[in-house]
Amino acid sequence: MEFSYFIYQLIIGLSYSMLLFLIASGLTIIFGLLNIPNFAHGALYMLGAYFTYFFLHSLPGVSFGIALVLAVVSVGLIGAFLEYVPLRKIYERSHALQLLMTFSFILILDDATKYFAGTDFLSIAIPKLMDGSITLPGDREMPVYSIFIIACGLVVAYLLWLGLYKTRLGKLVQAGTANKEMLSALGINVPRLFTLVFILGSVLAGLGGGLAGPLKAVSVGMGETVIITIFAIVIVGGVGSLKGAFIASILVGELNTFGVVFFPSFAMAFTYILVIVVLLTKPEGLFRTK
Amino acid sequence: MPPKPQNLKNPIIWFFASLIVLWAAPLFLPTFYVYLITEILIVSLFAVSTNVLLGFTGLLSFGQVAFFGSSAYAVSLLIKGTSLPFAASFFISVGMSALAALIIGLFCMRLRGFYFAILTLAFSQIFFVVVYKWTSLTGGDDGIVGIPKKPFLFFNINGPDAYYHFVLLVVMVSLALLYLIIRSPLGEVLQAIRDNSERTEFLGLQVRNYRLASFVIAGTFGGVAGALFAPFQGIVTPELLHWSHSAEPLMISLLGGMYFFFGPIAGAVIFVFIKEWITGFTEYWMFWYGLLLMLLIMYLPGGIMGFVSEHLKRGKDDSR
Amino acid sequence: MAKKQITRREFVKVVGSGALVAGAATFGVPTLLRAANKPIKFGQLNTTSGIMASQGVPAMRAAQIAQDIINQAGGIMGRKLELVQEDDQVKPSVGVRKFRKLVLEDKVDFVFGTNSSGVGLACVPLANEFKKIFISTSMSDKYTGANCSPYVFRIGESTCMASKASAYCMVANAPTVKKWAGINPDYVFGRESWDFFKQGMKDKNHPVEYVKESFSPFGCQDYKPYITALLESKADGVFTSLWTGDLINFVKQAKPFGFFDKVKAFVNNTTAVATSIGLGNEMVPFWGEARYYPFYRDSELNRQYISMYQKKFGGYPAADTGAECFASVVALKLAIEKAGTTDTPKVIAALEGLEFEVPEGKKWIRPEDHSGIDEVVLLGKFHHDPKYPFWVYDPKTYFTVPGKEIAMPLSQTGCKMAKP
Repeated sequence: MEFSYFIYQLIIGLSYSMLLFLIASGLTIIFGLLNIPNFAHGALYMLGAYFTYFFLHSLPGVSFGIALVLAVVSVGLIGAFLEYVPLRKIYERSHALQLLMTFSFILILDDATKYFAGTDFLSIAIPKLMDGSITLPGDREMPVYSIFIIACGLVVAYLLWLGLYKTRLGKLVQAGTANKEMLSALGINVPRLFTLVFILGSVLAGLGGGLAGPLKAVSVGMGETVIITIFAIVIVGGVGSLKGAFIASILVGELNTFGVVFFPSFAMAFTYILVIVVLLTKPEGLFRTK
Repeated sequence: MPPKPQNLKNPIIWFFASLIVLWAAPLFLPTFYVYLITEILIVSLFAVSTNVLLGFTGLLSFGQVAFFGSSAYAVSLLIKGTSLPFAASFFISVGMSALAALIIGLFCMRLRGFYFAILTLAFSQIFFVVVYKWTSLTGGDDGIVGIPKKPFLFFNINGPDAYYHFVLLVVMVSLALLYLIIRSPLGEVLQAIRDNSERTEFLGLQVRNYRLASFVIAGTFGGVAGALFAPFQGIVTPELLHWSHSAEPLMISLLGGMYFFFGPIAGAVIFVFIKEWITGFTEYWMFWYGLLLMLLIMYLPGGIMGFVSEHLKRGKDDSR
Repeated sequence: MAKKQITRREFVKVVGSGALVAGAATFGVPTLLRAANKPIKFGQLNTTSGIMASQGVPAMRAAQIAQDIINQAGGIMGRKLELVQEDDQVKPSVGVRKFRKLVLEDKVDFVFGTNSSGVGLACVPLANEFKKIFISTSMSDKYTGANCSPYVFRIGESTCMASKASAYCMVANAPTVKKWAGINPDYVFGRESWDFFKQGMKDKNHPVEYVKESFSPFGCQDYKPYITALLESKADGVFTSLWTGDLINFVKQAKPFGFFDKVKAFVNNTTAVATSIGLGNEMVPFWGEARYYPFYRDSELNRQYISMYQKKFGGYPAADTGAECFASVVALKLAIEKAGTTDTPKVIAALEGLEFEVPEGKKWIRPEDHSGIDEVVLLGKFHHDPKYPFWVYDPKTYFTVPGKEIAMPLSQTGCKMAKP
């Protein structure tokens, strides 16, 4: 492979990685602090795409950016409800039961979406500003929107890093991820913190969905197609580790990209092979937090 | 804290009584229900085997379909591709599941909690990919179609009632074995590990080996369920090996009550009937089904058996 | 009301003429079986939940339209037609359970449907076991291959037909494109499609070179590596059998690469109009081959199908499988009337060789292997036409192939039909 093609594929892979990171970051933060494996994270991602479509097409003169913000807020509200009403009842229960609960959310959210939006595929156009591509050396095209996704991923990663390491709230989240008893000992309103973090995670899932919208067929069930990959990323990176999710997203994204180039017939298995290799060498993920 | 398991007072009487009642069931039931109960029996066995891990060892495995599915595929290939008698095919397939569980288990035993769940899922997905892609052997996503119900030893098991009786016998014997295992010293150790693995380790027991034993037991009986399922359906497809199928026995165990041996059986009966019923009357069955699940978890977190035993206990306390 | 009366009568005319073609002298004759006035039940299996609901829900609706039309015109031999519809959840195991339920509990007389060959093929042994007719609306050639059965029919286009028609169309419309590549889904349908496409090129003795073949997993989320590899191969023509969400994902991700400007010909063998509706203004001008295309056939029945569908459900009947389900209901109705009974062996005999009119045109059921064969198979190149809310074929590009020409030759099917 010539070097320029290698670099080209690297960037292509990075745009997929960053999309995965946007979704996985929310899941790992929730899983880390609340200790809930939220299987419905993919459904929230789907809702992000649907809400973006809905706001873009039902409100006159709304741009993609505004629709995205409205969508993210809506998904955050739904997340707040899910945390506040059903999830709160089962914090002390087993992971298995929590998984089943969040699985029931998928069934409900999927069918509710089908009821309101119908079963036809919906399509969100790439915003005019970011349509098209720039030509790289070797007459290769790089879509502007993919570059935008990379930028979004990096900005969100930076903001989350700032939020987690530089603010009081972030430090509480970190402390709570490492040791839950400490929070109550500090006299923190733990339930409120949990709600806030669940909203943050939902917002990130919704953002991922809204940004993925222009690259995907918006459809019921689109959450289930990503959720296992997202869980794999969270586990490979280490539950609760933002850095881990970032690195693991890049690993999964690049592995899928280069895997397709070199070993196309194993494409279905890449993510699982990565999970097996990483977990057999590092049983608690790349960056364990507790 | 999980409740202490309650032993049946007269297990042998229970065993034969339920066997006789169920054996006679086809006399009273329309054929469709004979099929449905056959399926419930197979699903029950799969769920109980999974629950050996989930409820009695405290291991959340997302990969039990690997053993169910590989056994279903093995038995189908042996039935269709060789002249071996069905009994031989059956035991070879179950043996292969046990072996697969041993090998995968050796890799997975170091891991805890959700990491264990995802690693088992990854292994089972590798099985899925192999079956999906090895079209020349497995038929790919079209699967293997037309698996006949060959005689088992000297017994003709063709036909819905005959196959039901065959499944009933195999499942009842398997459940009895699993019951004995759970009540045995091995079962006691597994439950001690579930409740506190560090303490068990201090007592000088090799937690790892016990967990592995539990994993192999679950895989083996999952394999029995798979080997029964293939001729019952007459077809095997990669769907049987997909991770989403792993969720089913877990869900059934949780709904039924995972700390009870008979929990998954109660779960399977209710699960299959409710699903059959809801999917029949509305296109939006997922919504109602999801809502029902959510409410059940919110208000019956111990599952059906948990709820029942709680009430029985309370009733006893009141009468005292 | 009055308007409805007319459409009803017109339908009788249309379906009636189809029946006459089939030689059904019994049509319209009041049945003697007055005693048997309970409804005739058709069981239907399609996917109405999860990711395939986009295909299955319209399939259910299309069958309901057929039911309405038939019942408004007096039912089948004076008996009402009753549909019993079940969600197969795209899972073969669920399909099998629901098939049993339809036959044993609901006591349906016939079964049709399925969106995926996995589910449909799983139903074949049951059709044989219960001795019930099963009409498949999914595309596999296996229904009519070595394992063909007197009880099993495939009503619509097969993978072979759709892929060969795509090849023939390209030979005629893009003769200068010699470097071809494929991007197909990584399962049986995708691999067969690609093989049949190459076979179609060979049929026409068209000298082409295959520079790249790629297969992507079902539900693939990121097509960019496949897209860049296709571009890197410098292929001039690309054939794909991706469909539904996968095809939309591919098109949306390929478009920003200038893919559809760089590639001279892009042809798809399963482009339901649903793809174009799903893509909306994001659609690109590629060649599509649909099992049902609403705006080609100018017939009373097609107009009625579309208008009733729009009135009842809104939108166009766009899903391919929908038209096949409609066709299944019509074929069964005509066959029952031709046989004068719902007795399975007689209805099988009536279905064999049946010629009938459906919204997309005329169909014929080849008696030797029970393969449904369209009089013509249509392709076209999508373009924007302000008259329609989504992209449609440019009528100037309509390309038709007689179904008999692209059906798998009987000598190759390997089917030895047994007696029912």
